[in-house]
Order: sequence, then C-alpha cells, then structure tokens
Amino acid sequence: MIKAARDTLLQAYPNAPWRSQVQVIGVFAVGLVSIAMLAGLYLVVSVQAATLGREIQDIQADILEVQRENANLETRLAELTSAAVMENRALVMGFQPASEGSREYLPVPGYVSRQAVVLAPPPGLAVPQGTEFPIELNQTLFQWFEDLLRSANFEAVQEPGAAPEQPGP
Amino acid sequence: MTQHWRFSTIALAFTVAGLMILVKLVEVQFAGPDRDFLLRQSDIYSGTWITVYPSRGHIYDRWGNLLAANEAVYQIGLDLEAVIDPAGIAYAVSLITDEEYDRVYQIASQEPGPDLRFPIIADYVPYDDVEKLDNLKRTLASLEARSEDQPIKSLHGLIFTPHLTRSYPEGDLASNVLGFFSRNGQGYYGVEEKYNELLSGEPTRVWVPEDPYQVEDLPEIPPGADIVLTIDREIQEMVEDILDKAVIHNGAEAGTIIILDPNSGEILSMAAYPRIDPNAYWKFDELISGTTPFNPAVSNAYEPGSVYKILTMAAAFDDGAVDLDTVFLDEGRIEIGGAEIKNWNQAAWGEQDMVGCLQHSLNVCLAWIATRLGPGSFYEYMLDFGIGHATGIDLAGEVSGRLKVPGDSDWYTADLGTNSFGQGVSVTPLQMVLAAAALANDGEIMAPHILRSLINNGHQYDPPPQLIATPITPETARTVTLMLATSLEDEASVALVPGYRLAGKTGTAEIPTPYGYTSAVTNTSFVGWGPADDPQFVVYIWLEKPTSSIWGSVVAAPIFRTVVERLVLLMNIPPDDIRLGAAVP
Repeated sequence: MIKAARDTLLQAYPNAPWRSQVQVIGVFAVGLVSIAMLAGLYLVVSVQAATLGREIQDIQADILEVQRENANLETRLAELTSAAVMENRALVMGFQPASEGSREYLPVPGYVSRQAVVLAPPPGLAVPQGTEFPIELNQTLFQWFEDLLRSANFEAVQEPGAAPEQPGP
Repeated sequence: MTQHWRFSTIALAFTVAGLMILVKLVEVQFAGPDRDFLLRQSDIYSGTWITVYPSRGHIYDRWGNLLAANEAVYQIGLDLEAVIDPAGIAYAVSLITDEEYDRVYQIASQEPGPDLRFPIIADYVPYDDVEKLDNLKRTLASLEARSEDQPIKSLHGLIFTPHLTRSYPEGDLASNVLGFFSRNGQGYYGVEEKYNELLSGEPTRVWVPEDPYQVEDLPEIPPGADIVLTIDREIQEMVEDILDKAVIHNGAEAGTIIILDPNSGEILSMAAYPRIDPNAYWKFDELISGTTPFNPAVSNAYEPGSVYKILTMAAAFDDGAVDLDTVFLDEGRIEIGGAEIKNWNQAAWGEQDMVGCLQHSLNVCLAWIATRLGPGSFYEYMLDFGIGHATGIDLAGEVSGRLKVPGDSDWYTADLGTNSFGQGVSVTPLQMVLAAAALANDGEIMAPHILRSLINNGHQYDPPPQLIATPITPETARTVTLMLATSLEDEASVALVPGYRLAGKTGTAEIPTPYGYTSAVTNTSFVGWGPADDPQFVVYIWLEKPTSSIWGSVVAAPIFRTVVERLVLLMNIPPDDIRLGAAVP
C-alpha cells in the first residue's frame, strides 16, 4: 500500500511539473518574507534610534539655551537688586538712610549675627552627579543582539553553583 | 532553444553588471585612487570637533550678591548662499544695531566661494536687538506679496549665534577690585586677572557626530570656579559714594579708601577714584590717565607722611626706647645726618610727652625717637610691619614700595630722620593700612585677602585667616591705640564719632618732584580704627593733591568721620556704652 502511494506521487510530479515550481517558489517566498520582516524590523528600530538621537541633540541644544537664559535671568535679577537700584527704590518709597539719631539698639539674648554666604557644601559632602543616557538609546538592534549572545555565552561557560575565585594569600 | 539563449544572455549581463558594481565597490572601499579623498570627505561630514568653553565663574560679595556674572549675546553672521536681499539686510542691521550700512552691504553682497560662505557682520549684539531682527526676518518670510518699494524684502541668510559674555550687574561698583574680562578672553587687573585660570575653567574639545547613532551625552564640562569676595557690597557702595563726593568737593586728583578687618585680614571695602565701568572697559583711557594705576590701593606707592608716625612710635614703645613718662623738649629743629628737620609749622613746641608728639604731629620729636631707636632697630621694625615688601594680597598688580635700609647705596643717616615721619619712604595704601592693623589687632598682622570662599566642583572652600607677622607685643599695640585715641579726643578732632572711642592719625605728605619736595600740593591721609577697646575695622583714607586744603586734618579727617558714622551702622556695632553695658551684665 505504501509502495502504491509512493508510485502515485512519483507519477504525479512528472505529470504536473508546476508542483515542484510551486514548492521552490514557496520556499523562496518564505525566505523573502523572512528577510523582509527582519529588514522591516531593523528599519523600524533604526528609525526609532535615529529619532531618539536627534531628540537627544535637540535636548542638548535646549539645555544650552536654558543655561543661557538662566545666565541672562541671573544677571537681570542682579541688576534689578543692585545696590544703587535698591537704594533708589528705597528712597522713592520714602525710606531714609539710618542716622545716628534714628537708631536704637536692643539687647536680644541668643541673637546670631548675619552669617557669611554658603553657596555649596564644604568638601567631604557628596554632590549629586549628572545623569547618564541609558545604553539602550545608543544601541542598534545588531549590537543588542550581539550583547545578548555574548552574555548568553558568558553564562554558559560559568559552571552552575561554582564559587567565585578567591584571591590567594 | 532560442528563448533559453536569450534568458542566458540577460542573466549573464546582469551577473556581469553586478560583478562590476561589486568590483567597483571593493575598489572604492579599499584600493581606489579616490579612497583617501573619500575617507576625508566622510570624516568631514561625519561630525565636528568643537571646543566647549565652560561658563566663567561668578564673583560674589561676602553676602552672596552678584558682582560679576555672564549673559548671552549674539554673533550676527550670514549664509551668503542664502542671501536674497543684501540691501535689505544692510538696512535692517544698521537700523537696529550700531553697524554701518555700507559695511554690512559690502559684506552681504559678496559672492559666496569655497573660502567665503559664512562671514560675520557683528558680535556681542544684545538679545533685544537680535530679537527685533529675528522677528522682522520671520515676518518678512511669512509675507507672500511684497511691494517693490518696500526697503526690506527679505532677511533670508541672517544667522544668529549665541554665546556668553561677562557682565557686571553693579556697574562700576568695586571695579578697581574686580578688574575686567576682555573680549579676547583674558582677565585684566584685580580678581579677574589674579584668579583668571580658576574662573575660566578648563576648555574641552568635544567630537559632535552628525550620525544620530553616534550621539553621545556631551561630557559634563564643569563651569569655572565661583568666587566669594570679602568685600561687603553695602559698605563698598557707601565708601565709593563718600569718596566720589570727597574727591570732587576737595578738588583732588584721585582718592583711595580701604576698610580692613584687622582680626582676619579681610578687605571689607577698597574704593578708588577714578574707576571704570567694566561693562565698557574699552573706555579705560578716557577715565584713567596714563600715570594713575587701575587700583591705587595696591599699585600706587607714595610717601605717606605723618600717618607713618604711628609705626615709629609703636616701634619705640615696643623696643623700650620711650615710654608714657618720656618727655621731649621740642626746640623746633633737629639735625640728623647733616639734614635739618623742622616741624610742620616751623615752631618749637617745648616739653611734650609722647601723646603730645602724636597729637601735634611733631616731626622733630619723631625724628628724635628714631635716633633713640637707632637705625638697626628702626628698620627692623619697619620691615616687620611689612614696609618695603609686597603684602601678597590676592589682587593683580601689587607693588612693594621702597624702604631704603642701611647698607643700600642710596641710604644716608638723614633718611632715618625723614623716614620717622613718613617722608623718603614709599608705601601703598594697603601696606599702610596693614601696618596699622598690627596696632588694632594686639600686634598681629593677618594676611590681607580678598578671597573669602572658592566654590569649585560643587564644594565651597573657605581658606582660614593666616597670621603673617607679629611686629609688636599686644601691650604696645594697646598702649599706642590708647595714646592715639587720647590725642584725637584732646585735640577735639573732626575725625571723632560721638559714642565711639576711635584711634587715628592724620597725615600730610609733601610730594617729591625732580626739583625737591613741594609743599604747594600734598597727599592727605588719615588712618584710624575702632572701637578702641576691641577694634573691628581699620579705615585708611588717601586723597591725592587736594586743592581745598593741603592738610590731612582738614581734608581726610572729616571723610574718616563720615565713613565711620555709616560703617558702624552697616557693621552693626553699637555705641561703646551700649556695647560695653551689654557685655558686662
């Protein structure tokens, strides 16, 4: 019975050669679609990476712009609160400079006089560090895949449960 | 069969073409004659090396008020390939900025070439002007129809590139201390020059790739260090205001006032007249003549005159050459080394104790005291007081003055007599105030400094005060302080401030010329400190060549009083009775 079926099949192919062609085309199409899918996936990831790269560049430009604006605002604020401007404003508002006759000193127990400015912590105290980009933002799909393989390979060569190497005496 | 041949031919043709492309690709990539050129081209367009200059550090006064900061200004340039209307650009730029129409038009109408594409029209243009130009540019770009008689048709091609520049929000306040930061990237004078490297930070070259895959976080370029000065803005403003008025009122050529904390060596105020606005430092020559230093307090050595007598008296007391019981018979003249020395009024004052010698500022008495000390001891004390060598203050341009000592080829015995009352010796105002600080601080001289704190890499460093010399004992310092306080009170000096016991001494110095000393014009000065029992400040006044009077007691002493009247308020120093009453319950 098996022999009969095999004979029938062998006979069918010479009688209908398109079957072989369809098979070849099918395999080719599967390969093509697979490649297209990979290429498409790669393209999407690439576009996302490129877009993020540009966004990073834009953000860096924005940071510089904000820094310049901050510098301008600091300077403007300092101008508005400069000694001469403040004195003029005080005079316009009706204040008078303190004179010998207008002052009165009162003893205030525990009074702490004006302290010098502290603009930053003294040496020894931790200072917050700047942020860093996560590696994913700089990594292509292939680099990610390569890293994945490399880490998988590294885990494979590690014996499960092996103790970490100890330094000798 | 025929069909099969055709297919084979086409397949062969495609194969050959493919192979040729492949061969060409390999050739271009690895072996072709254009390989190096193409590699260079790819390098050029793959990114840019830029030098990132950290923002220059800020300068604050002791309370955190900004004295020097940064602000954004713009460079206006052109992309010649994009320029449509050179005349319109010239018209708009000349209308809004100070640039000349002809110059801008000449630049804008050039033909672009390989070496000429992005010329610069103007730099350091303020934001307001750039905003007007940018708005105009956008408005014109959005207009579809333009009339032919419209003067500006398009500002296409104008480029605005921002960068930071130095700004001094307080104008000319303390400019003699700050110095200025020029547009060539260098700090000049004062703090800006002395701390230029710290303020500037480290410029860093950074590769900025065009390829978005290669984009990396720009490295953190730390800004230049911030600096907190010992200067008190309110005191500085007060002192400058008084000094400006005093110089004009007295018809003086120039003036200097220094206020020092004798306990720490901190400079609370250092004012000079004339001074510049560092925001327009290029007007330097209009305000400061060739012979006037930028900061006379540290750069101008002159013969101080009678204020110097406090040092001679302190040295003599410390050495034991005189004491409070010593009496000098003033005959109106004394001869030392062949030179005759007389008093300021050419008169003989008779018997005088040491307080009287200071109170009446007797040259003859002080010259006699110097002879009792002897040259060896006298000059040793003067050197210990810091006369003749730079103080080491952290300001650019300090000079050391000149103290001739025995052994120098130009020193004569007569110099001992003249030096004793401040002639024949040159000092800077800072040297003089520092020497006086020894009397105000129990005989100790603290290192003078203008830097209070340094903020670098996120941390604030506060250098501690440093003792640099102890020329006299605490007992001598207190004794001379009390003598000077008494002499001021006895003569009812105009330097006195009600409620506060102050010590001080006037100075009137003749000015040496190529033809000898002249009495027609003088340097008038006053040095004083207080409160006498616990000095918190030393004030030094110097007016150069006043025309209202030649006497320090007339010119400088009232300025001292005006300064101290307001200084005690700003420093929160109550009158002696309240302060001492509060201290002793």
